[in-house]
Amino acid sequence: MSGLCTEDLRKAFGSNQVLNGLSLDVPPGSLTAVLGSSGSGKMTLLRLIAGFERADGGRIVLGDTPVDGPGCFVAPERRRIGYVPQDGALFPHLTVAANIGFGLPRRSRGGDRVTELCAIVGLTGLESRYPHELSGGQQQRVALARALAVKPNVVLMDEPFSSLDPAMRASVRADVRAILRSAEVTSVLVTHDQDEALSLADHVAVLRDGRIAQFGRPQELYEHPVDARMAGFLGEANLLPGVADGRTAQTLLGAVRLRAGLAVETAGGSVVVLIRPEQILASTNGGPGIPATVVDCEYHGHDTVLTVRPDALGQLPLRARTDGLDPVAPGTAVKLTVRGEMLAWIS
Amino acid sequence: MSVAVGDPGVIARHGRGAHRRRTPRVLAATSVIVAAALLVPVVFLLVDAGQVGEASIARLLFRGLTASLLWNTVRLAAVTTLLCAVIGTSAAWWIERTALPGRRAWAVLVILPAAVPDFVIAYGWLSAAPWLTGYWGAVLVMTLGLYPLVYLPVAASFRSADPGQEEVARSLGLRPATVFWRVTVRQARSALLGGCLLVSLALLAEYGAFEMLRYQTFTTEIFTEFQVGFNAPAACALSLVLVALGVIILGGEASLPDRGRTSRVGPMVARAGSRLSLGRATVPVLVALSLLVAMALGVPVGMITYWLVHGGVSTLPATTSLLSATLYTAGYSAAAAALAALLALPVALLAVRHRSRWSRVLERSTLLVQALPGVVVALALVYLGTNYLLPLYQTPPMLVVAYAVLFFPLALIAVRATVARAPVGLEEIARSLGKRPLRARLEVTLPLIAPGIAAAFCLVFMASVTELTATLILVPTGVQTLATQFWAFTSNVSYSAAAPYAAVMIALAVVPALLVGRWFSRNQSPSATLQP
Repeated sequence: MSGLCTEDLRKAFGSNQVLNGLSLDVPPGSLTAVLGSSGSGKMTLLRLIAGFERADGGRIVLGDTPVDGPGCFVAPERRRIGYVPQDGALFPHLTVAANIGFGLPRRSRGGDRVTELCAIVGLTGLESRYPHELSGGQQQRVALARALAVKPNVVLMDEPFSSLDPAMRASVRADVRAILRSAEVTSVLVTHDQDEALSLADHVAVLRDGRIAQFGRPQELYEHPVDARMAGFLGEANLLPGVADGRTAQTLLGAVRLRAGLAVETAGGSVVVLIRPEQILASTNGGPGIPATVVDCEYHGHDTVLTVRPDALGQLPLRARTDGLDPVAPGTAVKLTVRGEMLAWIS
Repeated sequence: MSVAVGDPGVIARHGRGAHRRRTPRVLAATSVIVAAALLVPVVFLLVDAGQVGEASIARLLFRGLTASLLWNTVRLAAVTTLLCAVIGTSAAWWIERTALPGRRAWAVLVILPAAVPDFVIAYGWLSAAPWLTGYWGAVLVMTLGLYPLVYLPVAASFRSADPGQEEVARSLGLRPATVFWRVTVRQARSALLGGCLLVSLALLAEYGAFEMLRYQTFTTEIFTEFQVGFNAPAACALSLVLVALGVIILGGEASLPDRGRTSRVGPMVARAGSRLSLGRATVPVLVALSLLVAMALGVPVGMITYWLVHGGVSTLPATTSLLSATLYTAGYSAAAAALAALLALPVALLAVRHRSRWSRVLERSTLLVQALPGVVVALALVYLGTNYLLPLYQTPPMLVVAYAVLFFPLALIAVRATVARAPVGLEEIARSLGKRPLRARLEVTLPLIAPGIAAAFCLVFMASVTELTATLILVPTGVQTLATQFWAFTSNVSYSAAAPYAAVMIALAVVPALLVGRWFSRNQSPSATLQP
C-alpha cells in the first residue's frame, strides 16, 4: 500500500493556468476526496497523476517513486494506477469478464481473479454481458473491478457517481466505499458535490484557484473552514457581520458566543461570523428571541429549511434548519435564537 | 442537502475539451504524405495546363462547344439531382418512418441499384428501348443509378433522428405533413445535402452511360478528345473547367451553414419513434416503390438475363476471358480498396482525435479529390507516367493508385465515422491497466474501428469494380477487366456478348453493397452508440 504525494504541481493549457502549485499528500490506504467546482482543475489533477498528461512543473511521487517531475516521467502503463472515469468508459466490444480481465496477463484472464472481482463488486452472473446491457451503476462497478484487477497502487475516480440517478447513487457509493476499504487501496476521488465528499471520504482536499485551499478530515473541514468563502463552499452558511470582543460578538442576531482559540479573540474588532442553519432555532410559539417572518419553507422530510427575514433588520434573509415535523407557512411569525459556539474571521 | 456546483455533464464536456493532446509526429507526417499524394493529380493537371499555355487554353475554351457542353452538364445535373433528392428522401421516409409492409425487403431492394454501374443501367434500358437517348434518357438512367446516394445517408439520418422532436411538434399542434417539412426534413438536412453533393459530382464524372445514350457532357468530350482525337491540350483545357465545376459544387455545399447538426441535451436515448400509419396511401406507395425497383433494378437485370439466355452459343468462347477479366477486376479492386482504407486511417485519426485548424485543412484537402472526375485523375496519371514514370505507365500499380485516389473520400468517410465512436479515453484506460501505447491501440481502438475499415474496403471495392472511365485509360497493356471488356462488346453493339460481363460485375459489387448497407443501418442508429 503506497501513498501519493504531489508537490507544487503546475499545468497550463494555453494561457489557462489550471494547476498553480498544487501540493497534496494522500495518506496510504485512505480515500481522499478532491472537492472543487466546475473548471477548478480536478480532472487535470487526476490525468496528471494517471500519467495521461505531463505536468509543466512540480513533482508527483507514488509511494517512494517519483513518476513525474523534472527529468522524470513514468508512462501510464508502468504506474499501476487504476483509473475509473466518469462514464465508466468500459470497452464496448468486450464482455464484463473481458473488461475486468483486460489488464491481467493473458493466462489469468479466464481465471479465478475475474470471478473473485465479479463477486467483490456484486456482479456474479453477469460475466458474459456486454456493457450496453448493464445499468449505469453496474457499469460503474465493472469499471472499478477492472481498475482493481491489476492490484493498483492507487485508484483514481473521476466523478464516479455523477451519472447515476440519486436513488442509486447512495447505494453505489456505500458499496464502492466498502469495496475500496476491503481492497485496502489508496484512492482519490474527485467530485463537485460537497455532500458526497464529506460523507464518503476519509480526507477531503478542497481545490481552489489551482491549488489545495484546505485539507483535512471531513469534520475538521466542516467545523474549521479556513475562511468565510470555504465555509460557504462546504455547506450552507449564514455569514453575518459583527463586532468581536473577546469570545463574544455582537451581531444582528444579538450577542453570540465564539469558539475558543480563534484569531479574533485577541484582535477583536470588525468580524464575519459563521452561523450554520442548524445553529439558528426558529420557534413558532413565542418566547424570547429576535422576531422574524418566514419567507419560504423547504420541506425535505427529514428536516425543514426555513428562509426567515428578521423583522427589525430589513432585507437580510437567513437560513434556519429545523427538525420540525410540520411545514411552516410563509408569513408565519417566529422567534429566532442561536445555539452553540460560532466561528469568526477578521473582516 | 447537497450543493451541486454546476452541472456534471457540463464539467465532463468542458474538461475533455480542455485536454488537447499533442499531435504525434508520425501520425501528422503520414497524413501530410497521404494528402500530398492525393493532390498529385491536381498538381499535374496544372503542370500540364501550364505547358499547353494560357493562350491556347483560352482558344480551346472560348468556343461554342464549351458553352453547349456547359449547358448540357448543368441542366442535367440540376434536374437529376433534384429528382434523386425527391426519390431518395421519399423512399427513405416511407421505409424508415412509416408502417410500410415489407420494410426490410424494400430497404435492401432500393439500395441494390448502387451496385449496378450506371453504364449497365443504360445498357439495360437501351436494349429494351433503343430510342431512349439524349437528355431525357440521361436524366432517367442517371436518376435510377444515383438516387441510392441520397437514400443511404438520409435513411440513416431518419433512423438516428430523435423522435422526441417530432412528438413535441405534434403536441404543439402541427399536422403530420407539416411535421415532416418543418422537423423531419430539417433533421435530415445535412444528410440530404451530402447526398445531393455526391449525386452532382457523380454526374460530372460519368462517361460510359452518357456515351451510350449519346449525350455530350464535359467528361465524354474530354474522353473523345484524348482517346479518339489524341488532342491532349484540348482534353486538359476542358478538364480545368470540369474540375472548376466540381470545386464550385464542393465549395457551395461547404459554405452552407451546417444547421442540421443535432444538439442533444440529455444522454443519448436509444428509442425508436412510433411509425406513422400510411392508411389509404399504402397501396400507391407500394406501387411507387415497385415501379422504382423495377426500373432501376428490374430493367438492367432483366435485360442481362434476356441476353444471357438468348445469346446462347456466341457467349461460350468468352468463358476463359470472362474468368481472367473477373480475376483482374477483383485483384485490382481489392488492392485499391486495401490501399484506400490504409491511407484513410491516419487522416481519420488525425481529423477526429487532434482537431485543429490545420488538421481540418488537411482533411478538407483530401476530400477535394471528390471534385476530380475519373477521367481527370486518369489523364493526370497518364501525364505523370509518360513524362516522369515511364516504367509505371499502363501497369497494374498505376491503375490501383488511380482507384485509391478516386475513391479515397469514400474510405475516409467510413473510417472517420467509426474513429469518432472509439473515444481516446479508452486507450488511456488500457494504458493505465498496463498496456504499452501500441498494444492499447491494437487491443482497444482497432477492434472498435474494424467495422469502419471493412466498410471502407467494401465501398472502394464496389466502386472500383464498376469504374469504367479511368480503367479504359489506364488499364495495363494486354489486360481486359470486366468493365473494359463489357465496354468493348457494347461499343460493337454485341449486347449478348457483353451480358456475362455485366452479370459478373453486378455479382462482385452486390455483396459489398449489402454489407455496406447493413453497416450504415447499424452504425448510424442510436443503439450503436458506445455509451448507453
